[in-house]
Amino acid sequence: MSLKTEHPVEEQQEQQEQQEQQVIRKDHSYRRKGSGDFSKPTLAGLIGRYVLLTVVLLLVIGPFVWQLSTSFKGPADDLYTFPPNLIPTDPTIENYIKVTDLIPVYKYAWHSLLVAVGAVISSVVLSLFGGYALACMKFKGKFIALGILVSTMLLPGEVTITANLLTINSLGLANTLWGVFLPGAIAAMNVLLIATACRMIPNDVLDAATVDGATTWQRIRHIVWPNVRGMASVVAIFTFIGQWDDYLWPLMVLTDPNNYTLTVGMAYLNGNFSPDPRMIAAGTMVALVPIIVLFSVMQRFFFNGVQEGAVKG
Amino acid sequence: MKSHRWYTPWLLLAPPVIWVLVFSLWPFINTVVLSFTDARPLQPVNPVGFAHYERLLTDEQFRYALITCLIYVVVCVPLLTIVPLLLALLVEKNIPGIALFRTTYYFPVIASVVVVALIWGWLFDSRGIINQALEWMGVVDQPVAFLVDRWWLLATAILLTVWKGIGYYMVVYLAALGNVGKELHEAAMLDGAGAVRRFISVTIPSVRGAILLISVLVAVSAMRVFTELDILSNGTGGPGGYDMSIVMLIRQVGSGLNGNLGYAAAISVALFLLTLVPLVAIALLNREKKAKVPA
Amino acid sequence: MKIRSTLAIGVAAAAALALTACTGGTAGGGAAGPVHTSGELSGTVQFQTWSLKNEKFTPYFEDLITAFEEEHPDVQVDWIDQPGDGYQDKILSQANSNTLPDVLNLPPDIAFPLVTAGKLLDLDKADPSLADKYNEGGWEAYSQFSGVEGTYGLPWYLGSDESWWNMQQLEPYGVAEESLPTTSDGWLDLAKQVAADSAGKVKVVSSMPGVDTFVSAGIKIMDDDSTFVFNTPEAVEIVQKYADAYKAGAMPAESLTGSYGGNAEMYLQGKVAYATGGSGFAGDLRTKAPTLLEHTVATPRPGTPPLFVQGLNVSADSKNKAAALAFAEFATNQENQVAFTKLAVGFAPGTAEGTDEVMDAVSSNLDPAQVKAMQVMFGALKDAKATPFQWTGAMTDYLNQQMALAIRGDATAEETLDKIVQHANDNRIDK
Repeated sequence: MSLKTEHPVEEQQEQQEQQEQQVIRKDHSYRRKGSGDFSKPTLAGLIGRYVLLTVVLLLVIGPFVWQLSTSFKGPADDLYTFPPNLIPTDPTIENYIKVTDLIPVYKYAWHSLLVAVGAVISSVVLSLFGGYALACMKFKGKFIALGILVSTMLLPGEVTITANLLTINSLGLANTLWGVFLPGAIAAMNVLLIATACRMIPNDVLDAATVDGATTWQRIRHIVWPNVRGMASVVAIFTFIGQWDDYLWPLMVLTDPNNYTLTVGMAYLNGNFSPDPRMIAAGTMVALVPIIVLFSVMQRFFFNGVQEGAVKG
Repeated sequence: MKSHRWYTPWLLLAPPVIWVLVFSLWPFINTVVLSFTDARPLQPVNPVGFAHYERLLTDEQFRYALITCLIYVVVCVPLLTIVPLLLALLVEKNIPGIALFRTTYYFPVIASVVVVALIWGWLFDSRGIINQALEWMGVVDQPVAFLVDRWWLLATAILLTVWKGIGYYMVVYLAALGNVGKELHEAAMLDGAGAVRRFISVTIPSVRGAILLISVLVAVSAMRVFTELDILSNGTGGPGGYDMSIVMLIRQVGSGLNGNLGYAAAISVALFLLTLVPLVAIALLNREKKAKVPA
Repeated sequence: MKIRSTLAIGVAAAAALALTACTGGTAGGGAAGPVHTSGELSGTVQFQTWSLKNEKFTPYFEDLITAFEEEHPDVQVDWIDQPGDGYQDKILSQANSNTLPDVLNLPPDIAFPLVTAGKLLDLDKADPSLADKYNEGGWEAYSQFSGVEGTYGLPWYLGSDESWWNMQQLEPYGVAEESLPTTSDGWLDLAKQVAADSAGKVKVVSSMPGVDTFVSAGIKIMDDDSTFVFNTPEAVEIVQKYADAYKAGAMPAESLTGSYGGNAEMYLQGKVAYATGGSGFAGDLRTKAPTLLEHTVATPRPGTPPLFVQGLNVSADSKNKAAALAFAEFATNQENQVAFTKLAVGFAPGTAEGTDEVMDAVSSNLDPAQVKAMQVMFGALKDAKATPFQWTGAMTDYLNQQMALAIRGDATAEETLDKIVQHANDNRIDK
């Protein structure tokens, strides 16, 4: 395999680096130096790392920053100059007010929030029950249930949406936020994720609880839940993001602009009026900022949950 | 030891199982049935046998859509398998401020497609900032028609997919890397292995599962690409429709009041079978690996 | 993984369940028979417009509804507006789930499938006296559906296109207002000449040829049994001229994406020196690019101008047909249409009379450029011809894709047209 061929040049550099380290940290034993290299890189390495991190950072947030800057630009700012003015020369928050004259952005954001929070609650609770049953209980037909859940991950989501619309219509939920919420109330993927986490709980612990006479509910509440909270936060964040960003489904369900969610409202804004890019930018920021703030606040739980073994290879 | 009543697990599992049956399996079965009919909206339906599948074999539009998707797979799989791994290694260590970087790298994943599309459409416009930058640097003297040339359009869309996907797969790798014991690295260093060597002989084998998983996930979602190409090409699929993806074709054929639902369903089934290929491939690879272990 | 973000086949596969849910009524016409609107009306009427809820039209519709409700105190009108994009899908899902609004706005091509499925009310049968009150061309557009008797929409507003020229860009190259070309040939020749003289800086072609191009060139689109036949030598010649113009640099690359609105947008940005658009375009110019308006001249489109028809339709499944029909008639009566087209500058009322009234009312408070543009368009309406309703959106998509190749020179005009016609005939909706 080509991957396994020698890389003389890189290795030489490697060796040089190691020699440098040996010079710098003479007081350490060889092994300590080795592990030191692993978790505490050299100063040059550290700087290089930060430089790389920053370059990637700029690539990632550049487009967002450009949009943010546009949203604060006043009418006197030329949008088409180069090099671009990242700092508006005629700064204003006017765009954030004017955009609400066109569409009720903040009301739409509230609708999105309702749907997303509802889905988070139902997903976490129902996945916890389902995941626990799959992972920790013995019963006939387990493989049938598992098979049904896994099969959806193979099926193309592209084909289900309209059939779902008819289901929702026949339930009398057309044009309601309930209709938007329902199909996403629980996803097979989330059940499987929680089941993975449940499998990590030692059997002895659960058995001991059973001997003590704990009911199923008590076991879930006092043993399972504390052990899978990390994974539950991953499920919660995935669900929230998915619902907040979803576009096509709410577009199909909601008929009346009074009931729109934020993404549908944004597309409506873009299609129905042709205001200047500054106002569109303000609208996109309203859609973007809450979810970015939420994620930034929750990121610790998210990354911890992930590293607990969320998505195992 | 019987610790629960026989129906308890079924009660607990009922919601997800019912949801999947109602919102996923049942519509899919319907699609398969539909692909053997001449269904159109609001019209009576007649069976047509395999006619739609025969048409697939000779349909020029389907051929181009397939080519587009295959290129998408071939380009995206290596990019989205390797770049996120390198990025995960970059943010794995707990150096000061690393949380900021990790979190930010995930922003494109959490941003809504609608929002991202609005932003990118503007960046790559003929008067957009990218073209202005290129002209300013003197690389080009006419704006590059990023969004109306078959290959530029494809390249721009792939770039968008990669940009939006990197954070997601980075997190998957972070999870996998969390399981790699430090002992392995330290042992390798004792043997005098350098960083590159350690990357190849320790890191890659220990995240092999994640690499396989991710390449399959990327391949499957690349086969199903839709939003990026649709929005960047303004729904046209580029000149000649050469940049249409399979899902775009399904939509063009099947949507609207005159949509050819039967043929659209047949393309959906074909797409489903195509997405099975990478899944079967990984299953075979895994079996091969297991077979080798005892030997 | 973006499983969740996959935009879908859309409404398409809905039919899966619709197969059982919707038998489609009797082919060939909806609920027939007279509907009496003279009695005491009551109940709720849902009224659906298409992309008309905005700062300009909202007050008009609110007043309209209030006026109707005052006349009929027991009736309540619920106004719903749908976004511009995805309207067909929305209509289809409403039809499939039997939730079509009582009164809705459908152009003839979208109305046709609903008519064949029996989803719309035959208005001629409902009230035979209506025909005389409306513009003849508009009434015809809702009466000529193949294989179906009856009339399924009340003409609401009519529009056409004209040519817009940016003289500031054109004058340096010897183009004067008096000598602007009046034929498609003359225009394409001018485009090539200007492109050559300006080294590709001034672009006079802003959109690809479409079926309307062939209609206006007098090419026969369909033969008597509705087979598409527009792949004639004349059409080939037109496409070839566009391709030559593109090669000469007379056409911006963006025009190849084939979006209808893009052409006007590029004109506003000064990217092209020519565009087609309704007379309302003068209003856009005034608000978005006032300096451009001074240098802009509007002329009739070469050849036969296109006709755009919008109408109000009544659902056959309406539970309140009498009130629904009464409201549709009310909204499309001469007084209310004139009031509407005064706002919707650039459109003409779909009633038999009233055009002059709009002209008189509007001309006093518009700038001269806009008045002139309106005169040009109202003059053109008499001869305007609509694209056949059998021509679908999917066919336009295909046409745009293939045409882009021919214009770029990646395919010959002849094989492109043959392919487009072949595709259209393979996908005919009226068989």
